[in-house]
Amino acid sequence: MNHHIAALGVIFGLLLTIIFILDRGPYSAFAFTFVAIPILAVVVVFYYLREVLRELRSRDVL
Amino acid sequence: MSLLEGIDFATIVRALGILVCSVGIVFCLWLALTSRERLRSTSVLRLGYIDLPAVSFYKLLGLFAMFLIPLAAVTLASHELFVGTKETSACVQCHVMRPYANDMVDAESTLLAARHYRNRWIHEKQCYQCHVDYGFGGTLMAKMDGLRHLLKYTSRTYREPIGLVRPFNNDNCMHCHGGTPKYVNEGMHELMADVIASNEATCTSCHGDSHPSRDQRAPGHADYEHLMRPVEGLK
Repeated sequence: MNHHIAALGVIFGLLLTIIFILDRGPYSAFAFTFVAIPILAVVVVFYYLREVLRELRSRDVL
Repeated sequence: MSLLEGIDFATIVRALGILVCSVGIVFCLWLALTSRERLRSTSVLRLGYIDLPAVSFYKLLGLFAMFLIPLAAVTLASHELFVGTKETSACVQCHVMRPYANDMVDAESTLLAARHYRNRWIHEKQCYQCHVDYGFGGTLMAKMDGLRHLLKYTSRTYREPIGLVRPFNNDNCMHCHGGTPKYVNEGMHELMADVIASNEATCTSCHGDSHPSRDQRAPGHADYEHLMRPVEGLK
């Protein structure tokens, strides 16, 4: 995953989050819970934190 | 302070959530439109009085766009998911809940839920107050039930009339009624204390139904269309 895809993933997740906050209906709640949260979690955990760990390792911090 | 008077906490959280998400979208667009070479550039960016190496600037942008803002957005929106769904108005968003709400706001109804609602015996969050077991376990179970309801409702894998998946817990009634003079002075309650405590007898066995019957809520019944009309007059 490169940063373009990660950024687009976050944009999609945040758009679903805005829709949920505005609409508060069952379908938007479903989209937020089962689509937006997993996408944001994947980007945060598998992209961002992995990049941070990689950089720390390259500097012999870890 | 006067500006914030009349604005409840939930509204502030929602406004903050939209703001955070909007800022996050702008930051992510910025990142998505920036090439990998530029992210690693050693050139210096001038931000007002601050000169910052581009690589440091984009690392900060990444920290906000891909870590802090998603975490903040999910936290703020989860407030709506966990707290906002306690409101009766949230329950009636699903059309299968309309029969319950329509009967509850019906001034002519003599059913338990309607009497509690009409007489303001429960001031707010009426569905939640009666249907969620008290204590941490009850709240946790309610959230798990909420996820199950979301899955069932959005995938249309439910069948009308809907019903409870487990017997109603008398403790939910006892939380308000138990120990009150009216309850204690009724001899039958003392006689039936054991079966009430064990849920062998439900409160509705003696006090009447809380909601329209399964038959009334079944498609094809004469009352079905009337009960399924859009809910009006919910306070």
